Amino acid sequence: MATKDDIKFLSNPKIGQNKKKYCRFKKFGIKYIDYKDSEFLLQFINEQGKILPRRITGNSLKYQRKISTAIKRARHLALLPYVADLLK
Amino acid sequence: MKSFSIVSGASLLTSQMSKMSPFAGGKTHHLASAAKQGHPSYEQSTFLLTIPHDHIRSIKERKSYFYFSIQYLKLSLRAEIHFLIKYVEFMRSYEVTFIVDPVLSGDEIKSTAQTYVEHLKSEGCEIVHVEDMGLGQLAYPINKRSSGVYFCIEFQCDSGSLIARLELALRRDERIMRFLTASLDKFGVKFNADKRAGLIGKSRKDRVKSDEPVPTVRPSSAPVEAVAAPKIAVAPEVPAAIVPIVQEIEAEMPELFEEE
Repeated sequence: MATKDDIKFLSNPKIGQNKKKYCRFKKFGIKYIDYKDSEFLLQFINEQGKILPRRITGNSLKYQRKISTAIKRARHLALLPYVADLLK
Repeated sequence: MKSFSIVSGASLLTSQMSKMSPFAGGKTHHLASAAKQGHPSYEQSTFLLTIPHDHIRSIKERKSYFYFSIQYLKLSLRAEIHFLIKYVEFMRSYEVTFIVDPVLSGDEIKSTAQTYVEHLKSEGCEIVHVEDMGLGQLAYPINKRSSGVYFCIEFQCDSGSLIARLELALRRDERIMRFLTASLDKFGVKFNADKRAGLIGKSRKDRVKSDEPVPTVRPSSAPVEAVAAPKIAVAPEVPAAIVPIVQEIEAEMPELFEEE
């Protein structure tokens, strides 16, 4: 019979222990999001160039709004694509 | 419209007022006495007051602050002083980013950017910084070009009415592939200044490291913050000397204290 030690690594040990998401802007006191910094904004879009939702990034609403404006501005200036495949 | 005069007394008042934080009500006393003593010009009919933008958050706060200080001044000086308050005096900050056609020669590209710097200067703007961001790959083709030369001009002006003229000029210009004008809030201005000073950069890890010593400093500064914070958050603090005067004004002119 399999003991507890044997089945320990059969499933992902991280399952079940949810790490609390946080808003990095609030935590680190970032007040302004630069739309010209496309590398930074890349953290908030997926491979297709879509803006990631708050439930994934953990941003507060205030900064999610700022992020989305910044991304849209960057798209207008061709710093980020509107549509893409394999962006990352 | 009434004419106004900017006199030495007024500039003193203005400088004092700009030094004051919005609700440091206690300072109005010093202000009044300063105007009383060394500055004969306080009797002149009208003062121009410029209100610092960052200090005062909303129209409502501005009003409550200035009603107290101005009415107190009037009554304490027993002189008829009219204040012409100019809210729009503070400079607004904007940033225009545009992409210049890379097919042009290097000099032409620079002169294109210079055209708009000159344009803004002729409109009476103060150019804060012109950034040549260089040739960059476009994320998608614009006008069948896959790269472009990025420029960014940060400027300050009194009103935003010139933006329309600037954008019209940019739109008509064939050398410009794309442009974007954005207004900057105080954080944006600070961010750009820090970026120019090299505080914000590629080395994000270094920045985190440099931030680390801050917690050790914080305990000493924390009590100061705790004292300073309520001043801003709570309604205007009215010094004891003003209270009877304010009540007097309230009885005479209730319309001043009505909220919009």
